[in-house]
Amino acid sequence: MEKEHPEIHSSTSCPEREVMLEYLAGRLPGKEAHRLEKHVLDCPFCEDALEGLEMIAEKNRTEALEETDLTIDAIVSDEGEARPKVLFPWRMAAAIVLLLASTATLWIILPKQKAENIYSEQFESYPAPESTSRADVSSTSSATTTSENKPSVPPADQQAETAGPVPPTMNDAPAEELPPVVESAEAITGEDPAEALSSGGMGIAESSVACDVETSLAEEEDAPSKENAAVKSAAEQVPARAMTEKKTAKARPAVKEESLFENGMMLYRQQRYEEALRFFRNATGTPENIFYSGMCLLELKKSQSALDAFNAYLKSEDQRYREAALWYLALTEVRLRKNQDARRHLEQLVRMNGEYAAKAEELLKTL
Amino acid sequence: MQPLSDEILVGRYVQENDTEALGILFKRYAHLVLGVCMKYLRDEDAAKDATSQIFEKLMVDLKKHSVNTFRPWLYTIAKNHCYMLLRSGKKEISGLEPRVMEWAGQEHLSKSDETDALEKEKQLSRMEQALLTLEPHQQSCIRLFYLEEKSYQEISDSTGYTLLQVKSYIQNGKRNLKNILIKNGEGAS
Repeated sequence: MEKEHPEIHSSTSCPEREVMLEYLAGRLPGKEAHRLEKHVLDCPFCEDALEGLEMIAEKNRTEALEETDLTIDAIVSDEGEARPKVLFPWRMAAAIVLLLASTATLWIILPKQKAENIYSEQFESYPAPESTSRADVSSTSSATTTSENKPSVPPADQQAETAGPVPPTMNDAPAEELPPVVESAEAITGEDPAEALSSGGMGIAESSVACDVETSLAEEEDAPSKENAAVKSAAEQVPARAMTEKKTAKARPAVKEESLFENGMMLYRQQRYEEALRFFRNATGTPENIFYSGMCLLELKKSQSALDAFNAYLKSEDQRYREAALWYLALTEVRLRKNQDARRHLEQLVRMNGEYAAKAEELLKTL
Repeated sequence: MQPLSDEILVGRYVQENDTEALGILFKRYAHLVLGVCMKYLRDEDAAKDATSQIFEKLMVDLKKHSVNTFRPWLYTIAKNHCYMLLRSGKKEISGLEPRVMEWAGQEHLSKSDETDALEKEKQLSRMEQALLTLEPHQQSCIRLFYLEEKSYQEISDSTGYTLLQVKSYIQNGKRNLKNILIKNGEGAS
């Protein structure tokens, strides 16, 4: 594969970043400068690059490059999170060490830190719609069991319960019950128009989705049979009611989109974003599904995919989450250091003069 | 520590879906990509955005095409992406297009140079003859650059030409030399 044009590699390799920057700053010694110039005469890539880099003010060059590096890191880590890798933190650490060592100047990582700080300062989870049940549930359920609906506690709780029992439930649970769901999930993914979403969905293979839906359904179904308290608390939520209904009124034609959305919403309220995302993604790409997919992705720190989702949402005519989508889009862009886009969207929010206008104005000042 | 070759990193990405490998590879050339984008787009933020878009494009395209040599391929992808942005774009395209064309022409010349990079060493000796036929300022700059291995800055310092002049004398002198050598070569054979 690499044998075809050996001369391109052997004769000349492009000057590394630091060398080029030193050259542009006029600090490269004569011999090295000559070597670079000689290479550049034969390398249109470098020739163009030098010309372009020259247009960036010297003091901004390193920073601009660090910024692009960090954006690349963000994209890579988004991808990496889709397919978890143990090595990543170490490599990240190594990269940071290298970065520090090679530049020996702390200020270079400031843009990233600044972006990250702004992001984490400003980011707040978006509430689920009409989540009146949240308060009620926690009050009722705290009386009965530990499984209140405040997220951090119950998921662990419930997962612990379900981690073991899943296979039995899947066997025991009437097989007739699951197919409709799976079927609908498949049918829906088949026609799913949310291309923008699927681009970010690499981590979740289509085939595994059906299976995941099964397991998360099994989890949900497990709850009522296991504990009355759980039923009690869950029953106050619409989606859970849908589930129990489904259970009693066996093969209801299909658990359609609304229910997928509701299930997603329930998981979303419990901050079980990964699972919620599966439901939102399996529903047809209605605006609210897309919007909440975006929120889940943000919570899961998959910024690039979240960006796609919000952009897809904003393409729809839907108005309900418009401002919120713009706001979260802008925040994500800040995090990915796409400041130009972020500014544009924030300005839009200011012009809309709604709920987010003041926040947007503030944030604009810091960019 | 021997860095992995471009092609090995490409292989890791294509075969093992190792995005980190592609990230490492891309960062190797990020300064060139950013520079190219800056040259064509002439806007820092647009260039930064384009650079990350190009990375995302690589992630898709590398899976679709088999790429033998990464660097020239990356250059083509980067330039095409910029052309695409300019074409679809909002910005003063009319002002930019002629420049783009002009550069496309130049690049052709240097590209064909690249393919006979090995030949060039031999030609250098024959060049001594051909050199004499060049205009004096081109001749002196070429001499200082190729034979005495001076940098543009050093040549500028010693001749009093501006950096831009030095650069253009060398580029044009080199092109003229090449033409002379080709002509002589044809005459001989």
